[in-house]
Amino acid sequence: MRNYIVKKILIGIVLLFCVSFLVFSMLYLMPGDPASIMAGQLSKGANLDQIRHEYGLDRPFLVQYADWVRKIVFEQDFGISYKYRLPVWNLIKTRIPISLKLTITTLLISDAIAIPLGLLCAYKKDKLFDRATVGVSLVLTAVPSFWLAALLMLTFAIKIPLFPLAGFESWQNYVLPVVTGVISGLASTIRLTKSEVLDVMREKYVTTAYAKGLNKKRVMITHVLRNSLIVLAVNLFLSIPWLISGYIIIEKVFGIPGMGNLMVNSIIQQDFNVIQAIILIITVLTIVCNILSDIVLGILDPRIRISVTGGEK
Amino acid sequence: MNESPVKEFFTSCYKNKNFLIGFIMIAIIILMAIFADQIAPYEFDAANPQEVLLAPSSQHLLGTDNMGRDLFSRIIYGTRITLQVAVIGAGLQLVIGVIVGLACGYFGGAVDKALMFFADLTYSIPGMIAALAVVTILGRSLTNAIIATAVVNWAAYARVVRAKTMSIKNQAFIETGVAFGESAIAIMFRYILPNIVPVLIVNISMQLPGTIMSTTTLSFLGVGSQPPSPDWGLMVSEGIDFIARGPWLCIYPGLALVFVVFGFNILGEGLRDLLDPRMKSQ
Repeated sequence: MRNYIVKKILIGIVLLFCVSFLVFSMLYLMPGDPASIMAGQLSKGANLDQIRHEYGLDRPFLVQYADWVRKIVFEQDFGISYKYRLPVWNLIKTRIPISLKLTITTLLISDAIAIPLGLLCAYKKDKLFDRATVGVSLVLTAVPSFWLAALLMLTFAIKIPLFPLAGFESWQNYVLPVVTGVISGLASTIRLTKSEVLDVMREKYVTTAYAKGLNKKRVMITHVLRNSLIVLAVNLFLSIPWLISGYIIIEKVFGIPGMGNLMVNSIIQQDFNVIQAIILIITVLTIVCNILSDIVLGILDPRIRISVTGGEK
Repeated sequence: MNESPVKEFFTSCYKNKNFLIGFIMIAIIILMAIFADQIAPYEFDAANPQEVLLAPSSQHLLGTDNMGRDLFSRIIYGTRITLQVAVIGAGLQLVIGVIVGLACGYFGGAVDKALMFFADLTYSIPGMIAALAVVTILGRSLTNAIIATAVVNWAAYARVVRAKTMSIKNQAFIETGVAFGESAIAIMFRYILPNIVPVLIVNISMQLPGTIMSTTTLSFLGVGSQPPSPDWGLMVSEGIDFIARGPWLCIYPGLALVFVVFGFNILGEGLRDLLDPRMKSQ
Protein backbone atom coordinates (compact mmCIF):
# COMPACT_ATOMS: atom_id res chain seq x y z
CA MET A 1 0.00 0.00 0.00
CA ARG A 2 2.69 2.47 0.96
CA ASN A 3 4.67 1.57 -2.17
CA TYR A 4 1.66 2.29 -4.30
CA ILE A 5 1.01 5.69 -2.75
CA VAL A 6 4.68 6.70 -2.88
CA LYS A 7 4.87 5.68 -6.54
CA LYS A 8 1.77 7.67 -7.47
CA ILE A 9 2.99 10.74 -5.58
CA LEU A 10 6.42 10.57 -7.21
CA ILE A 11 4.90 10.36 -10.70
CA GLY A 12 2.66 13.27 -9.76
CA ILE A 13 5.61 15.38 -8.64
CA VAL A 14 7.42 14.73 -11.92
CA LEU A 15 4.25 15.70 -13.80
CA LEU A 16 3.81 18.84 -11.71
CA PHE A 17 7.39 19.82 -12.42
CA CYS A 18 6.98 19.28 -16.17
CA VAL A 19 3.68 21.11 -16.41
CA SER A 20 4.82 24.08 -14.35
CA PHE A 21 7.98 24.23 -16.44
CA LEU A 22 5.94 24.24 -19.65
CA VAL A 23 3.61 26.93 -18.31
CA PHE A 24 6.60 29.03 -17.29
CA SER A 25 8.22 28.53 -20.72
CA MET A 26 5.14 30.02 -22.40
CA LEU A 27 6.71 33.42 -21.80
CA TYR A 28 9.71 32.45 -23.90
CA LEU A 29 7.77 30.47 -26.51
CA MET A 30 5.73 33.53 -27.39
CA PRO A 31 6.95 35.75 -30.18
CA GLY A 32 8.27 39.07 -28.92
CA ASP A 33 10.34 40.30 -26.03
CA PRO A 34 9.44 38.61 -22.70
CA ALA A 35 9.80 41.94 -20.94
CA SER A 36 7.19 43.60 -23.13
CA ILE A 37 4.90 40.54 -22.87
CA MET A 38 5.04 40.55 -19.08
CA ALA A 39 4.53 44.26 -18.77
CA GLY A 40 1.80 44.29 -21.42
CA GLN A 41 0.79 47.71 -22.60
CA LEU A 42 2.46 49.29 -19.60
CA SER A 43 5.72 48.75 -21.46
CA LYS A 44 4.82 51.20 -24.21
CA GLY A 45 7.40 53.93 -24.17
CA ALA A 46 9.07 52.53 -21.05
CA ASN A 47 12.63 51.41 -20.90
CA LEU A 48 12.61 47.67 -21.68
CA ASP A 49 16.04 47.14 -20.12
CA GLN A 50 14.78 48.58 -16.89
CA ILE A 51 11.66 46.35 -16.96
CA ARG A 52 13.82 43.34 -17.76
CA HIS A 53 15.93 44.06 -14.71
CA GLU A 54 12.92 44.79 -12.49
CA TYR A 55 11.23 41.48 -13.36
CA GLY A 56 14.53 39.64 -13.15
CA LEU A 57 14.39 38.59 -16.78
CA ASP A 58 18.12 39.21 -17.16
CA ARG A 59 18.90 36.22 -14.94
CA PRO A 60 19.52 32.64 -16.16
CA PHE A 61 16.38 30.79 -17.31
CA LEU A 62 16.42 28.15 -14.57
CA VAL A 63 16.95 30.72 -11.84
CA GLN A 64 13.94 32.62 -13.14
CA TYR A 65 11.88 29.43 -13.12
CA ALA A 66 12.87 28.59 -9.56
CA ASP A 67 12.12 32.11 -8.41
CA TRP A 68 8.76 32.08 -10.20
CA VAL A 69 7.77 28.84 -8.45
CA ARG A 70 9.01 30.10 -5.09
CA LYS A 71 7.00 33.34 -5.35
CA ILE A 72 3.84 31.47 -6.31
CA VAL A 73 4.13 28.81 -3.64
CA PHE A 74 5.14 31.01 -0.71
CA GLU A 75 3.73 34.42 -1.55
CA GLN A 76 0.86 33.68 -3.96
CA ASP A 77 2.61 36.18 -6.20
CA PHE A 78 1.59 35.55 -9.81
CA GLY A 79 2.69 38.99 -10.95
CA ILE A 80 0.58 42.00 -11.87
CA SER A 81 -2.31 42.17 -14.29
CA TYR A 82 -1.49 45.11 -16.52
CA LYS A 83 -5.12 45.57 -17.49
CA TYR A 84 -6.59 45.73 -14.00
CA ARG A 85 -3.37 47.09 -12.43
CA LEU A 86 -3.87 44.62 -9.58
CA PRO A 87 -1.95 41.58 -8.35
CA VAL A 88 -3.15 38.59 -10.40
CA TRP A 89 -3.92 36.57 -7.26
CA ASN A 90 -6.38 39.24 -6.02
CA LEU A 91 -8.24 38.93 -9.32
CA ILE A 92 -8.34 35.15 -9.33
CA LYS A 93 -9.13 34.78 -5.62
CA THR A 94 -12.59 36.28 -6.03
CA ARG A 95 -13.36 34.22 -9.13
CA ILE A 96 -12.41 30.75 -7.91
CA PRO A 97 -15.48 30.42 -5.60
CA ILE A 98 -17.83 31.44 -8.44
CA SER A 99 -16.44 28.79 -10.78
CA LEU A 100 -16.36 26.14 -8.06
CA LYS A 101 -19.92 26.86 -6.95
CA LEU A 102 -21.11 26.42 -10.53
CA THR A 103 -19.16 23.25 -11.23
CA ILE A 104 -20.03 21.50 -7.99
CA THR A 105 -23.75 22.27 -8.30
CA THR A 106 -23.65 21.00 -11.87
CA LEU A 107 -21.78 17.88 -10.88
CA LEU A 108 -24.25 16.97 -8.12
CA ILE A 109 -27.34 17.51 -10.27
CA SER A 110 -25.82 15.86 -13.31
CA ASP A 111 -24.83 12.75 -11.34
CA ALA A 112 -28.21 12.52 -9.67
CA ILE A 113 -29.74 12.26 -13.14
CA ALA A 114 -27.07 10.46 -15.15
CA ILE A 115 -26.08 7.66 -12.78
CA PRO A 116 -29.58 6.17 -12.43
CA LEU A 117 -30.04 6.49 -16.20
CA GLY A 118 -26.72 4.78 -16.86
CA LEU A 119 -27.61 2.01 -14.42
CA LEU A 120 -30.94 1.44 -16.10
CA CYS A 121 -29.25 1.36 -19.50
CA ALA A 122 -26.84 -1.32 -18.35
CA TYR A 123 -29.64 -3.25 -16.64
CA LYS A 124 -31.85 -3.12 -19.74
CA LYS A 125 -29.01 -3.36 -22.26
CA ASP A 126 -30.23 -3.43 -25.88
CA LYS A 127 -33.84 -2.99 -24.80
CA LEU A 128 -35.87 0.01 -25.95
CA PHE A 129 -34.93 2.20 -22.96
CA ASP A 130 -31.24 1.66 -23.51
CA ARG A 131 -31.41 2.30 -27.22
CA ALA A 132 -33.50 5.45 -26.79
CA THR A 133 -31.06 6.82 -24.20
CA VAL A 134 -28.05 5.98 -26.37
CA GLY A 135 -29.76 7.66 -29.33
CA VAL A 136 -30.54 10.81 -27.39
CA SER A 137 -26.99 10.98 -26.02
CA LEU A 138 -25.60 10.59 -29.53
CA VAL A 139 -27.59 13.64 -30.60
CA LEU A 140 -26.61 15.52 -27.41
CA THR A 141 -22.89 14.96 -28.05
CA ALA A 142 -23.36 16.74 -31.39
CA VAL A 143 -24.80 19.83 -29.69
CA PRO A 144 -22.11 22.38 -28.80
CA SER A 145 -22.58 23.74 -25.29
CA PHE A 146 -22.32 27.35 -26.45
CA TRP A 147 -25.26 26.83 -28.79
CA LEU A 148 -27.25 25.00 -26.15
CA ALA A 149 -26.62 27.91 -23.79
CA ALA A 150 -27.81 30.38 -26.41
CA LEU A 151 -30.98 28.36 -27.07
CA LEU A 152 -31.78 28.11 -23.35
CA MET A 153 -31.19 31.82 -22.96
CA LEU A 154 -33.47 32.54 -25.88
CA THR A 155 -36.24 30.28 -24.62
CA PHE A 156 -36.19 30.87 -20.88
CA ALA A 157 -34.87 34.40 -20.57
CA ILE A 158 -36.31 36.14 -23.64
CA LYS A 159 -39.34 34.30 -25.03
CA ILE A 160 -40.56 33.16 -21.61
CA PRO A 161 -38.80 35.52 -19.19
CA LEU A 162 -38.44 33.13 -16.26
CA PHE A 163 -34.79 33.84 -15.55
CA PRO A 164 -32.60 36.94 -15.83
CA LEU A 165 -30.49 37.34 -18.96
CA ALA A 166 -27.21 38.24 -17.29
CA GLY A 167 -25.67 38.98 -13.91
CA PHE A 168 -24.64 36.71 -11.08
CA GLU A 169 -26.07 38.07 -7.83
CA SER A 170 -29.13 35.91 -7.17
CA TRP A 171 -29.64 32.16 -7.45
CA GLN A 172 -31.86 32.62 -10.50
CA ASN A 173 -28.81 33.70 -12.46
CA TYR A 174 -27.28 30.30 -11.94
CA VAL A 175 -30.23 28.23 -13.19
CA LEU A 176 -29.61 28.45 -16.93
CA PRO A 177 -25.80 28.04 -16.73
CA VAL A 178 -26.19 25.00 -14.50
CA VAL A 179 -28.85 23.48 -16.76
CA THR A 180 -26.52 23.96 -19.74
CA GLY A 181 -23.68 22.31 -17.87
CA VAL A 182 -25.87 19.42 -16.73
CA ILE A 183 -27.22 18.71 -20.21
CA SER A 184 -23.86 18.91 -21.93
CA GLY A 185 -22.24 16.59 -19.39
CA LEU A 186 -25.10 14.10 -19.28
CA ALA A 187 -24.15 11.92 -22.25
CA SER A 188 -20.61 11.18 -21.10
CA THR A 189 -21.65 10.38 -17.51
CA ILE A 190 -24.35 8.02 -18.72
CA ARG A 191 -21.82 6.27 -20.97
CA LEU A 192 -19.27 6.05 -18.16
CA THR A 193 -21.82 4.63 -15.71
CA LYS A 194 -23.12 2.15 -18.23
CA SER A 195 -19.72 0.77 -19.20
CA GLU A 196 -18.60 0.63 -15.57
CA VAL A 197 -21.72 -1.29 -14.53
CA LEU A 198 -21.43 -3.62 -17.51
CA ASP A 199 -17.81 -4.32 -16.55
CA VAL A 200 -18.84 -5.24 -13.03
CA MET A 201 -21.69 -7.40 -14.32
CA ARG A 202 -19.11 -9.52 -16.18
CA GLU A 203 -17.15 -10.17 -12.96
CA LYS A 204 -16.99 -13.69 -11.58
CA TYR A 205 -18.38 -12.70 -8.18
CA VAL A 206 -21.58 -11.60 -9.91
CA THR A 207 -21.90 -15.02 -11.52
CA THR A 208 -21.24 -16.53 -8.09
CA ALA A 209 -23.99 -14.41 -6.58
CA TYR A 210 -26.42 -15.66 -9.20
CA ALA A 211 -25.24 -19.22 -8.62
CA LYS A 212 -26.02 -18.83 -4.91
CA GLY A 213 -29.59 -18.33 -6.02
CA LEU A 214 -29.96 -14.60 -5.35
CA ASN A 215 -32.50 -12.83 -7.51
CA LYS A 216 -31.51 -10.27 -10.13
CA LYS A 217 -32.61 -7.26 -8.10
CA ARG A 218 -30.57 -8.32 -5.08
CA VAL A 219 -27.46 -8.98 -7.20
CA MET A 220 -27.78 -5.65 -8.98
CA ILE A 221 -28.07 -3.66 -5.77
CA THR A 222 -25.72 -5.40 -3.35
CA HIS A 223 -23.04 -6.60 -5.75
CA VAL A 224 -23.08 -4.62 -8.97
CA LEU A 225 -24.18 -1.20 -7.75
CA ARG A 226 -21.91 -1.12 -4.72
CA ASN A 227 -18.83 -2.07 -6.67
CA SER A 228 -19.40 0.24 -9.57
CA LEU A 229 -20.35 3.24 -7.43
CA ILE A 230 -16.94 3.33 -5.76
CA VAL A 231 -15.16 3.84 -9.06
CA LEU A 232 -17.84 6.17 -10.35
CA ALA A 233 -17.81 8.43 -7.32
CA VAL A 234 -14.06 8.84 -7.48
CA ASN A 235 -14.04 9.46 -11.21
CA LEU A 236 -16.84 11.96 -11.13
CA PHE A 237 -15.73 14.03 -8.17
CA LEU A 238 -12.25 14.30 -9.51
CA SER A 239 -13.47 15.45 -12.89
CA ILE A 240 -13.94 18.92 -11.38
CA PRO A 241 -10.92 20.43 -13.20
CA TRP A 242 -12.33 19.23 -16.51
CA LEU A 243 -15.66 20.74 -15.62
CA ILE A 244 -14.07 24.06 -14.71
CA SER A 245 -12.42 24.22 -18.11
CA GLY A 246 -15.69 23.22 -19.75
CA TYR A 247 -17.35 26.10 -17.92
CA ILE A 248 -15.16 28.59 -19.77
CA ILE A 249 -17.72 28.47 -22.58
CA ILE A 250 -20.79 28.72 -20.38
CA GLU A 251 -19.32 31.55 -18.30
CA LYS A 252 -18.63 33.43 -21.51
CA VAL A 253 -22.20 33.07 -22.82
CA PHE A 254 -23.90 34.10 -19.59
CA GLY A 255 -21.30 36.69 -18.63
CA ILE A 256 -20.51 35.02 -15.31
CA PRO A 257 -17.31 36.50 -13.89
CA GLY A 258 -15.59 33.19 -13.13
CA MET A 259 -12.10 31.97 -13.92
CA GLY A 260 -13.01 30.90 -17.45
CA ASN A 261 -14.38 34.25 -18.46
CA LEU A 262 -11.37 35.99 -16.97
CA MET A 263 -9.06 33.69 -18.91
CA VAL A 264 -10.71 34.21 -22.29
CA ASN A 265 -10.83 37.98 -21.84
CA SER A 266 -7.19 37.97 -20.79
CA ILE A 267 -6.19 36.06 -23.93
CA ILE A 268 -8.01 38.58 -26.08
CA GLN A 269 -6.46 41.51 -24.20
CA GLN A 270 -3.07 39.75 -24.03
CA ASP A 271 -2.91 40.06 -20.26
CA PHE A 272 -0.19 37.43 -20.06
CA ASN A 273 0.32 37.08 -16.31
CA VAL A 274 -3.36 36.34 -15.74
CA ILE A 275 -3.48 33.68 -18.47
CA GLN A 276 -0.36 32.01 -17.15
CA ALA A 277 -1.70 31.97 -13.59
CA ILE A 278 -5.06 30.45 -14.55
CA ILE A 279 -3.49 27.80 -16.76
CA LEU A 280 -1.12 26.90 -13.94
CA ILE A 281 -3.87 26.73 -11.32
CA ILE A 282 -6.14 24.52 -13.42
CA THR A 283 -3.39 22.16 -14.58
CA VAL A 284 -1.99 21.77 -11.06
CA LEU A 285 -5.50 21.16 -9.74
CA THR A 286 -5.99 18.51 -12.42
CA ILE A 287 -2.80 16.66 -11.58
CA VAL A 288 -3.48 16.80 -7.84
CA CYS A 289 -6.99 15.46 -8.47
CA ASN A 290 -5.57 12.66 -10.62
CA ILE A 291 -3.15 11.60 -7.89
CA LEU A 292 -5.90 11.72 -5.26
CA SER A 293 -8.23 9.67 -7.41
CA ASP A 294 -5.53 7.05 -8.06
CA ILE A 295 -4.77 6.82 -4.35
CA VAL A 296 -8.42 6.58 -3.28
CA LEU A 297 -9.06 3.95 -5.95
CA GLY A 298 -6.01 2.01 -4.85
CA ILE A 299 -7.22 2.02 -1.26
CA LEU A 300 -10.70 0.90 -2.27
CA ASP A 301 -9.70 -1.65 -4.87
CA PRO A 302 -6.67 -3.83 -4.11
CA ARG A 303 -6.55 -5.13 -7.70
CA ILE A 304 -5.55 -1.71 -9.07
CA ARG A 305 -2.90 -1.33 -6.39
CA ILE A 306 -1.36 -4.69 -7.22
CA SER A 307 -1.26 -4.01 -10.95
CA VAL A 308 0.93 -0.97 -10.27
CA THR A 309 3.30 -2.34 -7.66
CA GLY A 310 3.42 -5.87 -9.03
CA GLY A 311 2.02 -7.55 -5.96
CA GLU A 312 4.25 -6.10 -3.19
CA LYS A 313 2.46 -4.84 -0.15
CA MET B 1 -22.52 -15.77 -53.87
CA ASN B 2 -20.13 -14.88 -56.64
CA GLU B 3 -20.12 -11.21 -55.81
CA SER B 4 -16.77 -9.52 -56.02
CA PRO B 5 -15.38 -8.27 -52.70
CA VAL B 6 -15.71 -4.68 -53.90
CA LYS B 7 -19.36 -5.13 -54.73
CA GLU B 8 -19.89 -6.93 -51.46
CA PHE B 9 -18.33 -4.03 -49.62
CA PHE B 10 -20.65 -1.56 -51.31
CA THR B 11 -23.66 -3.73 -50.56
CA SER B 12 -22.79 -3.82 -46.88
CA CYS B 13 -22.23 -0.04 -46.98
CA TYR B 14 -25.68 0.35 -48.42
CA LYS B 15 -27.20 -1.90 -45.79
CA ASN B 16 -25.50 -0.07 -42.93
CA LYS B 17 -28.00 2.66 -42.12
CA ASN B 18 -25.66 4.73 -39.98
CA PHE B 19 -23.06 4.81 -42.71
CA LEU B 20 -25.61 5.64 -45.40
CA ILE B 21 -27.27 8.52 -43.53
CA GLY B 22 -23.95 9.93 -42.35
CA PHE B 23 -22.52 9.67 -45.84
CA ILE B 24 -25.46 11.55 -47.36
CA MET B 25 -25.29 14.27 -44.70
CA ILE B 26 -21.59 14.85 -45.23
CA ALA B 27 -21.97 14.65 -49.02
CA ILE B 28 -24.53 17.48 -48.82
CA ILE B 29 -22.06 19.59 -46.84
CA ILE B 30 -19.23 18.86 -49.28
CA LEU B 31 -21.42 19.79 -52.26
CA MET B 32 -22.44 23.02 -50.50
CA ALA B 33 -18.80 23.89 -49.95
CA ILE B 34 -17.84 23.18 -53.57
CA PHE B 35 -20.78 25.03 -55.10
CA ALA B 36 -21.02 27.78 -52.48
CA ASP B 37 -20.59 30.46 -55.18
CA GLN B 38 -23.56 29.06 -57.12
CA ILE B 39 -25.85 28.28 -54.15
CA ALA B 40 -25.35 31.37 -52.02
CA PRO B 41 -27.48 34.27 -53.26
CA TYR B 42 -25.13 36.89 -51.71
CA GLU B 43 -21.47 37.25 -50.82
CA PHE B 44 -20.66 36.17 -47.25
CA ASP B 45 -19.25 39.63 -46.45
CA ALA B 46 -21.66 41.77 -48.49
CA ALA B 47 -22.88 44.25 -45.87
CA ASN B 48 -26.02 46.27 -46.54
CA PRO B 49 -26.85 49.03 -44.04
CA GLN B 50 -30.42 49.23 -45.39
CA GLU B 51 -31.22 45.61 -44.47
CA VAL B 52 -30.04 45.23 -40.91
CA LEU B 53 -31.45 42.41 -38.69
CA LEU B 54 -34.24 41.42 -41.09
CA ALA B 55 -36.27 38.36 -40.12
CA PRO B 56 -36.20 35.34 -42.47
CA SER B 57 -38.15 36.07 -45.69
CA SER B 58 -38.17 35.02 -49.33
CA GLN B 59 -35.55 37.70 -50.01
CA HIS B 60 -33.27 36.49 -47.22
CA LEU B 61 -34.06 32.84 -46.48
CA LEU B 62 -32.60 32.92 -42.96
CA GLY B 63 -32.67 36.66 -42.36
CA THR B 64 -29.80 39.13 -42.10
CA ASP B 65 -27.33 40.04 -39.36
CA ASN B 66 -26.51 43.31 -37.64
CA MET B 67 -24.50 44.45 -40.68
CA GLY B 68 -27.17 43.45 -43.18
CA ARG B 69 -25.30 40.38 -44.40
CA ASP B 70 -27.40 37.46 -45.67
CA LEU B 71 -27.29 34.70 -43.04
CA PHE B 72 -28.09 31.87 -45.48
CA SER B 73 -25.14 32.82 -47.70
CA ARG B 74 -22.84 33.08 -44.71
CA ILE B 75 -23.82 29.63 -43.48
CA ILE B 76 -23.24 28.18 -46.96
CA TYR B 77 -19.75 29.72 -47.11
CA GLY B 78 -19.19 28.49 -43.55
CA THR B 79 -19.23 24.88 -44.80
CA ARG B 80 -15.86 25.64 -46.41
CA ILE B 81 -14.38 26.65 -43.08
CA THR B 82 -15.82 23.65 -41.26
CA LEU B 83 -14.49 21.21 -43.86
CA GLN B 84 -11.14 22.99 -43.80
CA VAL B 85 -11.06 22.50 -40.04
CA ALA B 86 -11.98 18.84 -40.45
CA VAL B 87 -9.45 18.04 -43.20
CA ILE B 88 -6.47 20.09 -42.02
CA GLY B 89 -7.15 19.37 -38.35
CA ALA B 90 -7.46 15.62 -38.81
CA GLY B 91 -4.51 15.60 -41.23
CA LEU B 92 -2.26 17.40 -38.78
CA GLN B 93 -3.21 15.14 -35.88
CA LEU B 94 -2.72 12.12 -38.10
CA VAL B 95 0.75 13.14 -39.26
CA ILE B 96 1.98 13.79 -35.71
CA GLY B 97 0.21 10.73 -34.31
CA VAL B 98 1.42 8.35 -37.01
CA ILE B 99 5.05 9.47 -36.86
CA VAL B 100 5.17 9.35 -33.05
CA GLY B 101 3.23 6.09 -32.89
CA LEU B 102 5.42 4.33 -35.47
CA ALA B 103 8.61 5.54 -33.82
CA CYS B 104 7.41 4.45 -30.37
CA GLY B 105 6.13 1.08 -31.50
CA TYR B 106 9.05 0.24 -33.76
CA PHE B 107 12.01 1.44 -31.70
CA GLY B 108 10.57 0.97 -28.21
CA GLY B 109 12.90 1.70 -25.29
CA ALA B 110 13.83 5.26 -24.41
CA VAL B 111 12.25 6.80 -27.53
CA ASP B 112 8.98 5.13 -26.63
CA LYS B 113 9.14 6.18 -22.99
CA ALA B 114 9.96 9.82 -23.76
CA LEU B 115 7.34 10.29 -26.47
CA MET B 116 4.63 8.43 -24.56
CA PHE B 117 5.32 10.67 -21.58
CA PHE B 118 4.22 13.63 -23.71
CA ALA B 119 1.19 11.68 -24.88
CA ASP B 120 0.23 11.02 -21.26
CA LEU B 121 0.82 14.66 -20.45
CA THR B 122 -1.78 15.74 -23.01
CA TYR B 123 -4.22 13.36 -21.35
CA SER B 124 -3.65 14.72 -17.88
CA ILE B 125 -4.53 18.33 -18.75
CA PRO B 126 -8.05 19.42 -19.76
CA GLY B 127 -8.01 19.85 -23.53
CA MET B 128 -9.62 23.27 -23.56
CA ILE B 129 -6.95 24.69 -21.21
CA ALA B 130 -4.10 23.24 -23.27
CA ALA B 131 -5.64 24.53 -26.49
CA LEU B 132 -6.06 28.00 -25.00
CA ALA B 133 -2.42 27.93 -23.86
CA VAL B 134 -1.30 27.11 -27.41
CA VAL B 135 -3.47 29.87 -28.85
CA THR B 136 -2.01 32.31 -26.31
CA ILE B 137 1.47 31.47 -27.59
CA LEU B 138 0.68 31.42 -31.31
CA GLY B 139 -1.90 34.21 -31.47
CA ARG B 140 -5.57 34.27 -32.39
CA SER B 141 -6.48 32.87 -35.83
CA LEU B 142 -8.26 29.90 -37.37
CA THR B 143 -4.97 28.27 -38.40
CA ASN B 144 -3.66 28.55 -34.86
CA ALA B 145 -6.91 27.18 -33.43
CA ILE B 146 -6.52 24.17 -35.75
CA ILE B 147 -2.91 23.73 -34.62
CA ALA B 148 -3.96 24.04 -30.96
CA THR B 149 -6.61 21.34 -31.39
CA ALA B 150 -4.02 19.11 -33.06
CA VAL B 151 -1.51 19.63 -30.25
CA VAL B 152 -4.20 18.50 -27.82
CA ASN B 153 -5.54 15.53 -29.80
CA TRP B 154 -2.64 13.81 -31.57
CA ALA B 155 -2.00 11.38 -28.73
CA ALA B 156 -5.07 9.26 -29.47
CA TYR B 157 -3.65 8.40 -32.89
CA ALA B 158 -0.17 7.85 -31.50
CA ARG B 159 -1.48 5.29 -29.02
CA VAL B 160 -3.40 3.28 -31.62
CA VAL B 161 -0.52 3.31 -34.11
CA ARG B 162 1.96 2.36 -31.38
CA ALA B 163 -0.09 -0.60 -30.21
CA LYS B 164 -0.65 -1.84 -33.77
CA THR B 165 3.01 -1.39 -34.70
CA MET B 166 4.09 -3.42 -31.69
CA SER B 167 1.80 -6.27 -32.68
CA ILE B 168 2.91 -6.23 -36.31
CA LYS B 169 6.66 -5.68 -36.02
CA ASN B 170 7.48 -9.25 -35.05
CA GLN B 171 5.72 -10.83 -37.99
CA ALA B 172 7.65 -12.72 -40.67
CA PHE B 173 7.18 -10.22 -43.51
CA ILE B 174 8.86 -7.52 -41.45
CA GLU B 175 11.84 -9.77 -40.84
CA THR B 176 11.97 -10.43 -44.59
CA GLY B 177 12.07 -6.71 -45.19
CA VAL B 178 14.85 -6.26 -42.66
CA ALA B 179 16.76 -9.16 -44.28
CA PHE B 180 16.49 -7.40 -47.64
CA GLY B 181 18.25 -4.46 -46.06
CA GLU B 182 15.32 -2.05 -45.98
CA SER B 183 15.87 1.02 -43.84
CA ALA B 184 13.90 1.52 -40.62
CA ILE B 185 11.90 4.32 -42.27
CA ALA B 186 10.99 2.10 -45.21
CA ILE B 187 9.91 -0.68 -42.86
CA MET B 188 7.75 1.69 -40.85
CA PHE B 189 6.07 3.48 -43.73
CA ARG B 190 5.97 0.78 -46.44
CA TYR B 191 5.58 -2.40 -44.41
CA ILE B 192 3.80 -1.45 -41.21
CA LEU B 193 1.73 1.63 -42.06
CA PRO B 194 -0.41 0.03 -44.85
CA ASN B 195 -1.52 -2.58 -42.33
CA ILE B 196 -2.74 0.09 -39.93
CA VAL B 197 -4.80 2.07 -42.45
CA PRO B 198 -8.23 0.49 -41.72
CA VAL B 199 -7.82 1.12 -37.99
CA LEU B 200 -6.71 4.67 -38.74
CA ILE B 201 -9.77 5.35 -40.87
CA VAL B 202 -12.02 4.24 -38.03
CA ASN B 203 -10.08 6.46 -35.62
CA ILE B 204 -10.21 9.49 -37.88
CA SER B 205 -13.95 9.21 -38.24
CA MET B 206 -14.36 8.89 -34.49
CA GLN B 207 -12.08 11.86 -33.74
CA LEU B 208 -13.42 14.20 -36.43
CA PRO B 209 -16.57 15.36 -34.62
CA GLY B 210 -14.50 16.26 -31.57
CA THR B 211 -11.93 18.09 -33.67
CA ILE B 212 -14.61 20.17 -35.39
CA MET B 213 -16.31 20.87 -32.08
CA SER B 214 -13.15 21.99 -30.26
CA THR B 215 -11.92 24.20 -33.08
CA THR B 216 -15.34 25.81 -33.53
CA THR B 217 -15.53 26.36 -29.78
CA LEU B 218 -12.21 28.22 -29.92
CA SER B 219 -13.69 30.42 -32.65
CA PHE B 220 -16.77 30.94 -30.50
CA LEU B 221 -14.55 32.09 -27.62
CA GLY B 222 -13.00 34.65 -29.96
CA VAL B 223 -9.57 33.07 -30.16
CA GLY B 224 -10.04 31.25 -33.50
CA SER B 225 -11.52 32.68 -36.69
CA GLN B 226 -11.73 36.48 -36.66
CA PRO B 227 -14.47 38.66 -38.21
CA PRO B 228 -15.75 38.85 -40.91
CA SER B 229 -15.17 35.09 -41.29
CA PRO B 230 -18.39 33.05 -41.68
CA ASP B 231 -17.14 30.53 -39.10
CA TRP B 232 -20.23 29.07 -37.45
CA GLY B 233 -18.77 29.32 -33.95
CA LEU B 234 -17.92 32.97 -34.44
CA MET B 235 -21.37 33.60 -35.95
CA VAL B 236 -23.15 32.18 -32.88
CA SER B 237 -20.95 34.30 -30.63
CA GLU B 238 -21.72 37.45 -32.64
CA GLY B 239 -25.39 36.47 -32.70
CA ILE B 240 -25.65 36.30 -28.91
CA ASP B 241 -25.29 40.08 -28.72
CA PHE B 242 -28.49 40.39 -30.79
CA ILE B 243 -30.30 37.38 -29.37
CA ALA B 244 -33.45 39.32 -28.46
CA ARG B 245 -33.80 41.19 -31.76
CA GLY B 246 -32.49 38.53 -34.14
CA PRO B 247 -32.63 35.05 -32.59
CA TRP B 248 -32.08 33.47 -36.05
CA LEU B 249 -28.46 34.67 -35.89
CA CYS B 250 -27.77 32.20 -33.10
CA ILE B 251 -30.10 29.41 -34.09
CA TYR B 252 -29.15 28.61 -37.68
CA PRO B 253 -25.33 28.58 -37.60
CA GLY B 254 -25.54 26.33 -34.53
CA LEU B 255 -28.00 24.06 -36.29
CA ALA B 256 -25.60 23.76 -39.24
CA LEU B 257 -22.83 22.78 -36.83
CA VAL B 258 -25.03 20.16 -35.15
CA PHE B 259 -25.86 18.77 -38.61
CA VAL B 260 -22.19 18.36 -39.54
CA VAL B 261 -21.06 16.96 -36.19
CA PHE B 262 -23.97 14.54 -36.05
CA GLY B 263 -23.30 13.51 -39.66
CA PHE B 264 -19.66 12.73 -38.91
CA ASN B 265 -20.71 10.98 -35.69
CA ILE B 266 -22.96 8.43 -37.33
CA LEU B 267 -20.70 8.13 -40.36
CA GLY B 268 -17.99 7.16 -37.89
CA GLU B 269 -20.23 4.64 -36.13
CA GLY B 270 -21.09 3.12 -39.51
CA LEU B 271 -17.48 2.99 -40.67
CA ARG B 272 -16.45 1.34 -37.43
CA ASP B 273 -19.01 -1.40 -37.91
CA LEU B 274 -17.98 -1.88 -41.53
CA LEU B 275 -14.21 -1.88 -41.10
CA ASP B 276 -13.75 -3.29 -37.64
CA PRO B 277 -16.48 -5.82 -36.82
CA ARG B 278 -14.72 -6.79 -33.60
CA MET B 279 -15.38 -3.41 -32.04
CA LYS B 280 -19.07 -3.72 -32.75
CA SER B 281 -19.61 -6.45 -30.21
CA GLN B 282 -18.37 -4.24 -27.38
